[in-house]
Amino acid sequence: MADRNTIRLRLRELSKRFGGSPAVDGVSVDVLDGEFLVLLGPSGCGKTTLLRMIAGFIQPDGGAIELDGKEIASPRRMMPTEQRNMAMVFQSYALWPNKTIFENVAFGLKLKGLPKSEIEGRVEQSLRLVKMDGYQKRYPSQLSGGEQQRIALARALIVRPTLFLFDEPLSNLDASLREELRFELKELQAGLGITSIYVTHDQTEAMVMADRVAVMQRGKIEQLALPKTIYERPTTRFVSSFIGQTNLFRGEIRTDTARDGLVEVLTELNIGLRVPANDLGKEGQRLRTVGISIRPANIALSRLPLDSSINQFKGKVVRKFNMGSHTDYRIGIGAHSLRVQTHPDQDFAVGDDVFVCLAPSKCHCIIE
Amino acid sequence: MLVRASFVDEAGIYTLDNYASLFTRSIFLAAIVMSLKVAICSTLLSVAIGFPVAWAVSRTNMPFKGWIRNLVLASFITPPYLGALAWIFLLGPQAGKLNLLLRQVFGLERMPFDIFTVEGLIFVTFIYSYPYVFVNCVTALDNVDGDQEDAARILGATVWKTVLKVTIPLMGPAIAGGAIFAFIEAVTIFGTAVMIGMPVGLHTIPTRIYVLFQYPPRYEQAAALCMPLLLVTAGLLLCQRLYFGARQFVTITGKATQPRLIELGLGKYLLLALCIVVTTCSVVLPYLMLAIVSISKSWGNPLSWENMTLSHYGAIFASGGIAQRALINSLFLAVSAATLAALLTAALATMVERTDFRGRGLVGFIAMVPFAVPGIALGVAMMWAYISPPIALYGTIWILLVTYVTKWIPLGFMSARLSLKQMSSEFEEAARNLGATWSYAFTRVTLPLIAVGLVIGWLQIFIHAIGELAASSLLYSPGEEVLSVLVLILFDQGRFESVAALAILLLAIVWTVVFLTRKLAGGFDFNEKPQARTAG
Repeated sequence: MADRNTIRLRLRELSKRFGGSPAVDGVSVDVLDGEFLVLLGPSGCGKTTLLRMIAGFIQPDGGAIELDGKEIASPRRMMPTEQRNMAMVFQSYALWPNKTIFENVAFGLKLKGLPKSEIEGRVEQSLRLVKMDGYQKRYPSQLSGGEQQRIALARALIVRPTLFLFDEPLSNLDASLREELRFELKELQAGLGITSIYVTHDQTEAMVMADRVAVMQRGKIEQLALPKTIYERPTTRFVSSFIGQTNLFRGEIRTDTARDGLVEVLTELNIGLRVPANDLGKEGQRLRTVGISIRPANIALSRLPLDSSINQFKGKVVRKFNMGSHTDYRIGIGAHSLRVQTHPDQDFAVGDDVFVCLAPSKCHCIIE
Repeated sequence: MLVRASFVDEAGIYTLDNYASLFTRSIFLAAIVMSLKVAICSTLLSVAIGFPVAWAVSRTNMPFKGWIRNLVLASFITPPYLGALAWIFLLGPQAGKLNLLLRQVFGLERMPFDIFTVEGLIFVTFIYSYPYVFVNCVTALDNVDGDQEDAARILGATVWKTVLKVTIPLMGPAIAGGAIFAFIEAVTIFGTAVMIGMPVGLHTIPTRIYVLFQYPPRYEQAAALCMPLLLVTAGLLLCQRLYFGARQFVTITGKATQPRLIELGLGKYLLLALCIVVTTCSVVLPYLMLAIVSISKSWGNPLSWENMTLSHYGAIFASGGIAQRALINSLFLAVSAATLAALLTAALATMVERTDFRGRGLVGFIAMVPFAVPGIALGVAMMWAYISPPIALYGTIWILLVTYVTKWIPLGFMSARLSLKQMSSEFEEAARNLGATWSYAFTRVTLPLIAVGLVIGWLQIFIHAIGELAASSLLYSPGEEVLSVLVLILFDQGRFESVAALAILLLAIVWTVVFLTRKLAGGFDFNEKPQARTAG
């Protein structure tokens, strides 16, 4: 059973270069037993390279990979893929089109030389887990994309891997199916307690499935945290703009203004904003410039000034987009524009003068 | 089109009465058996060699992969009868250069090999039919989804287990398809059989047909003898289309990962050795041998300054000579056949791909029919079709033109159709939408976009037409020879040095055109963008 206190997989300063430019650049992560870790990032950020190094398809140039305390890959040592007892689910499903579903799923067990009766039993059991029992005699091309990915999942599950690797398994599926399989997959993983590493560029997928998310960019992990923390407290400019929508401004700290745990920052909007001082931490005490991030949904608009006068200033509605569940505004403040989302009931017209209010607790400092 | 399709049948209709009895005669049965034997053996060899070579080139870290690829493609382009000719110079029982060399090196008393045997015939057939297996397999191997192999690895399969249990089974249809093409090539091969088999009485179906055309001609029997050939080729192609067409495993859906190369240790040098031996046999040695013989006064004597001459080349270009006439004829026929076929197929392909004409499916099918007709059988069919009025072309050079156009309509059609298919019809629709008429849109938008494709089709037809031997040898009229036929005639007369010079000339023409094609295909391939668009 999964024990959340032991480290299953440890990546130490892992690096890989392709033709001079680093694909993965000094990544260190500890993955706990039974944990679901999502590697999230735009294409080319190195997440797939990282996954393929763990799988054993690529040898690292620097650093090491340890599985259960044993080194399995480093620039000097390389345990062959087939001895790592992992399993992987691919974006392209990678089912063998010339083999039946049974032959596909049974492949891993046949290699182990298990008796036929046991193989049949476990194939059935594995197919039942992914709700595809009874499809044994069919060929992959006779199944839909979603069904094929279920088979691929069964084929990986059956070998009882120590580590489950997912390479964007849902991105070839259409939106509704993707959502359905997302929950199912998470449920299955949590139920079986298999340590999993999941690569995706889809932030919703990461939010829904992950125990922890590692946001990657340019071969480095920008932030490794709980999904909620990643959203609410992004630590870098990249993370805050990649995860959800946000307004980002640069500003200068006025060191003499700390009061009530707030510190005033003079932003590029030419407006002073009061933000939580503890965001800056110890290191922040010495900083002069910071970034401020605030989500469009955390900004309030009103025709009249609100009671609290903190972080309140005037703006003008420049654009308005009706999105159904909410309304998306662009509010002009001087030469700058602010993105704001409100409930559709709150209706302003283009050209209206409004008061904009940024609750200090929702303003988040980013150290640059 | 329809008229032409009927010729193919005509061969059968005329001879219906004759051929039941024909098959009971032992010489024909022997020819059929011999053809099958040669074809089966060379096909087995082709698969045994063609697949490993393709695998090595596509999927391993073997060195010089680009060179090997090009050399195999060079064997593909070389007319097999020129290879046969070269191998007679190499392994002839009296003065074969390689034989002499081997005898000297190993201190043997007798010549180690004799090319004029069944084995010799099989060998030479094989070295020009394995490229079919190679090309089919290499395309499939290049396009394997690397994830499918990685999936096996991570489930616990070693490198070799993965090759055996995943890669090779995936290649099944490609190997079988290549084997079918290699078999068809081998069973219908004419030039090689005439040069290597016939002098010592080893007859295959095509050479028997050829003999039946010599004096005294027995055209009905020739036509009857075409039937087993036609049955085999048509049957196999149909089989290939129906069975393997439907089971093409390597069609890619979604994102496929580039397969990883397999790191071989010392094994890579073993594979490289195999590749080098095979390509040396099919290209390097033959070309070298032909070049040497073509500048020898007498090829039986050792190469030396005294034994060298350029007179054979001089003779070709001498005005009024038979060779000059043949050169002009060949060029004229190849150019006009390629032009006519390219224009005709462009029109047909447009009709099939861009109009809603009701019979377009049938047109598409009929355009591909000549593909299933072996050259020698086409020769017989053409003779029957044009021997008597209303269109009596037999005995003139025009019958060759008609034959060439017919024979390469499928090639041109495929090429033109592919160009059109790759080009999204949205380009045309955009023009129509802006107010262009259909014909304006076609000539100003579509035609320029597919022009490169059409020109490449033209060049391919030219390459094939200039080397065509089987049908030409039946249909040429004395005094109006073409280069390939002249090769055969001079070979029969024993003028080997002149034959070699002609062969080099033919190869030079073919290779010039091949380079032109490559330049054009690589240079401005603006089919690429539209292709990506329609795929998405």
